[in-house]
Amino acid sequence: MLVRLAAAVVFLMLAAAPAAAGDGPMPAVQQLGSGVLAPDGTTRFVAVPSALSTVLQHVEVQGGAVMRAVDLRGAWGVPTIAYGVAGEGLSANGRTLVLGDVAREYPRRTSGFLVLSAKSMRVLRTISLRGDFAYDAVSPDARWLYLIQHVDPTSTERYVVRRYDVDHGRLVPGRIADRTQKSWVMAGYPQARATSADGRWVYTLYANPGGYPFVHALDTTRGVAHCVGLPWTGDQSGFYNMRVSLRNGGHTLAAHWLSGRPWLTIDTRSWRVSPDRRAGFPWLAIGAAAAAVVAGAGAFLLRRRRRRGEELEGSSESCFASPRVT
Amino acid sequence: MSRRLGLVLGVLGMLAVVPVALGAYPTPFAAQGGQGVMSNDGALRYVASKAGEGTVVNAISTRDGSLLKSKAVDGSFGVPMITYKGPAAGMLRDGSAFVLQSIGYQPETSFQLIGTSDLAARTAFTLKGTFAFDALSPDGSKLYLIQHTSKDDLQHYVVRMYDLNAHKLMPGKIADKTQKGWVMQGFPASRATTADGRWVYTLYWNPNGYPFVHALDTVRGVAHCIGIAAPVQNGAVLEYTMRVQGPKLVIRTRGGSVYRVIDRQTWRVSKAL
Repeated sequence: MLVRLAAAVVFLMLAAAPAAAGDGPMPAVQQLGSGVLAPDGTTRFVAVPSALSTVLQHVEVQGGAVMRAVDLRGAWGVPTIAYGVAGEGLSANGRTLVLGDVAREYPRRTSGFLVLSAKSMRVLRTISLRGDFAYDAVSPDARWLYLIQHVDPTSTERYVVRRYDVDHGRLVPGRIADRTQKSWVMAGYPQARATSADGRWVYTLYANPGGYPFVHALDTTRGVAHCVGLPWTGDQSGFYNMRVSLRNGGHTLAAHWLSGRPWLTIDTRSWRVSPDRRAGFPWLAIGAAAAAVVAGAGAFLLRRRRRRGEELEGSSESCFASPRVT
Repeated sequence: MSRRLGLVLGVLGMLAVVPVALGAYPTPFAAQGGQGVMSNDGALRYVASKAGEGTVVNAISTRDGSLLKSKAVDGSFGVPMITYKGPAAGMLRDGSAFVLQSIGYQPETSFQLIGTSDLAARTAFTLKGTFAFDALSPDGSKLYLIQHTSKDDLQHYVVRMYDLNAHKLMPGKIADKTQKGWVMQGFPASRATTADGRWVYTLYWNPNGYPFVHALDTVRGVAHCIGIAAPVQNGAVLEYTMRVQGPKLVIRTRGGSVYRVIDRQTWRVSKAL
């Protein structure tokens, strides 16, 4: 019954989504839409559904001409980790593309992936895994494919990260976890992602209802991960409006709202979390101007800002129990 | 016979270097992949792609290449190409629909009129014989078709008219009544259309004779053929371009220099503007 209810919810979410997606509460793959952009930004790969097959198209960004198209038997899509974020699956060297199969149920008994040459669009490897898997990331040279394995048939929130050896065609035993925080339970929904310029590090922001949101930092070359908890105690339902981006040559990961309003930064070497003090959009100036015009409203805004600052500075020191902000 | 085979192979060879998936035949033909046909505002292009035994038609944003709409179509269809180098044709002047044509030279040819709003078929019909899209009247009521007299002879053809309102192929051919002995043969090299969509001019390369321009009045359904001098290298015509410039029709070489100018009222041919 729960599964049926979940399926109905998924169906409604898909119906509202701008592009047809094909999996659980978090989309696993995308058909139509913007697909995945090539590293040089000049072309994109888009999966198009057909009656019994999927047409993978390599499209020019400027002008929209179809440079090449291949017909793939079955229902496949470009992996995507969350609604409203760009498709994924193309290795950082631009040579290899991973597609995921379109799921019709949750949990799936088997999950499929295709590994293709981005140049010839020829299928290099067909992957079929027992269990419910979704794409997570691919290493820059496409040697390693990282997958989300859903481990609880009643909840898509709980998962482990697995590593697939593309060259040898096998799922590597064990999970990819933060060795320094062994008790960390992977639970949550991906909301936003940033990838280092060389494609090696993949940072995923997760909303974690009932717990703290966190960033999962994955080194796709070495296959190690680090979890960084974030100080947020309220409702996380608005987290779909959160984005992460890299700056300072990849040494700083900034979590900010879609509007550009800053929130936090994470030092990607020390994993230290700090309030983002960068001069972004002039919220303070606007607040002050508003205060000058409407004193009462201005005072109210200032009080809110002060209270929010205290909330950040007052967080716990423990990374397990609650995140640390310095 | 060997000469004709060589010619066809030559044209096929030229098609082979076109960097998109085509329904590789001498023009006109139906293409899959590539540029497709553009919406009138230039915001979208409609491209057909092979999907198993069928076809998917996509609406693609020209701004960022994202795929906005898609529809599966039974059968193997493509967007009509007038010349081997494009662009494609078949969009109604009001932008509400475009023509798809079956792929390949077959004893029967199918056409569909696809609505741009939902990519659903507005009209579909099949004709006995080897046909190809040629032009549309501005109001979308008349579809002009190239009918090859034999699927083994792709040079010779007649122009026919299909009434999209009455859903029937009109008897007789659209020919130059003033030059009844003119034999329609050749391969389309370039296309120009007046701003109102009424006059459609097609420059033909004629391997066995002079190149000519086929001027088609798509409203009245009448045509005029204007022969022009062949360049030293006859096949160079395939690289020529043609443009309507006020009362003139200007044909330029690949390098951009004026080759011939045709007065659109008197059909007089001159060498300079």
